[in-house]
Formats: sequence, structure tokens, C-alpha cells
Amino acid sequence: MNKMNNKRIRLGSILILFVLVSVILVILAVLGLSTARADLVVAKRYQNNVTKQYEIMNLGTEWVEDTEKAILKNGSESDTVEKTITRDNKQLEIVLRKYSDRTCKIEKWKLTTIRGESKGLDLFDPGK
Amino acid sequence: MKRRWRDVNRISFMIQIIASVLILLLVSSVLIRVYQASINKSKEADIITRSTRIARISAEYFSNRGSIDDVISGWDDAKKNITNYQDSIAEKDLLVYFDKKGAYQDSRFIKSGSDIKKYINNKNKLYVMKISIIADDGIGRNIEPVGIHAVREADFSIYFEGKKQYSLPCKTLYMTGEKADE
Repeated sequence: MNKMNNKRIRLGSILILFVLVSVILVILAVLGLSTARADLVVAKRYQNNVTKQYEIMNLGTEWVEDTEKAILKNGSESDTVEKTITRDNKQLEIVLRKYSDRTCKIEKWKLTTIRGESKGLDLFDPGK
Repeated sequence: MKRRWRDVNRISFMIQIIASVLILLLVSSVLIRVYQASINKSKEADIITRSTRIARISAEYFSNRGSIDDVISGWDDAKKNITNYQDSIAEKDLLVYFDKKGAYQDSRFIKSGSDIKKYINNKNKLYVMKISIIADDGIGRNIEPVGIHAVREADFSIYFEGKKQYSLPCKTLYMTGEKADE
């Protein structure tokens, strides 16, 4: 019986090594996947941001074009015309000033991103 | 008795080996799938970022808002090509070629509306940007009254390996003749 037991192939250490390597590889794979997913989310957010920025600027350009034509053709009550365009979390403020019967100038062209309220944990009020 | 024990040991050993091989196959196939998914997602993220960056910087050059950092990082030639394009006629599209890292290679004009696939034959030029002029009021023309804002509109389409990735329409204002404050 002892002789038979001595003949058994011992796989314990190999098995432990195999399991350890597998676990490490799985952890690395999951980390890699989560990093890649986060990269993709950031890339899509960046693309979305650029698209929205140009959308609102294109709207602003259209407004300046139309308003300038109207001012030069029909005149305006005041020297300056203001416009605020809001689209999603972006805001464009434009001020157009009439200089003469033939010229208008863009006095202000300010694009801002409206930040929403933080949804993070309030560490000073655990009840929230 | 001895023989029976030996048989039991052999069967047990075989089962262990088969189970180990199966587990190995299962684990490795799962790992390969996960790594493959990671690589695909990373590649997709990279393509999105580079396509958007190329279109954004080109649109900024087109409307003369190119940043100095981008010029320093190798967009000098691209800027020349894109800004020179302002004087070109609208019947032509401009193709600008970039390598896999998004670095500028060269550019050429093609007939507007033609299929760009026949102009992609170099594997080193993975990103291709097609700039199409949509509206071109006042570029190289005498518009009256002088000193008003004319609109220039272009579409920046980015292709990766011949497939359209991103399109960025850009409208920009152009002061005709002398500027208002001069």
C-alpha cells in the first residue's frame, strides 16, 4: 500500500502555480478590459463634446449672419444686439455692435460649459 | 488488490489530466476573448480620439483659430494646406492624408463628390480627411458692402481604412474687405 502511494504523481504544487497564474491573468485581463472601456467612454465623450461645441458655434454664426443683414438693411433700436444660445450643457453669448450703416462688429463671442451639480458623495453629511 | 489500486490511481490521474486540460482550455479561451475585447475597445477609442482631433484641429485652422501647440506638434504643413484651401474653388474636395498616429502626410485635390476609395492606396496613410466646401461667401470675391461678415461653411469627414468615422460641419465668419475697427 505504501509502495502504491509513493508511485502517485504529485500535482499539488503545479496545480497551485497554475491556479495562481490563471488568477493573475484573469485579474490583468479584467483590468485591461475596464481600462479599455473607460478609454472608449472618454473618447466618445470627447467626440460628443466637440460635435456639440461646433453645433452651437454654427448656430451662433447663422444668427450673426442673419442679424447683421437685418441690422444693416432695416436698422435697429439700439447699437448692440445680444444673443445667448444654450444647447445641452453649452452656452454661447454673442454681442453684435453696429458701427456704421455698413459695418457691424462682434464684440463678444463667449462659449462656456455649464457645469452640473456634483453627484459625488458628501463626506460631511453621511445621511445623504 | 495491488493491481486494482494501480488501476484506480491511473484512472484518477487520467481524470485529473483531462480536467486540467479542459480547465486550461476554458480559462485560456475566456482570457483570449477578454484580451481581444480589450484590444478592440482600445483600438476603437484610439480611432475615435484621433479622428475627432484631426477634424477639430482642421476646423480650427479653417476658421483661423489653430492653436500654437498643435502647430508645434506637426500640423504646420496641414495648416498651410487647409488655409490655402480657402482660396480654392468649391467644385473640388481636398483630401488630406494622415498616418496611423494621426500625423500629417500629404494632401491632394479631387473632384467634388467623387468616391474617395480609389484615392486610398497607401497603407501608411490610414486616416484620410475629406474637406468639402458647402458655402463660400466672400472668399476671393468682392462682396458689397465691404466690412460685413460672410459665412464660409465646410464639412470635415474623417475616413479610417476607407470607412467613414466622423463628420464635423463647421461654419465660420469671414470679414469681407477691411475690418470694422480699421
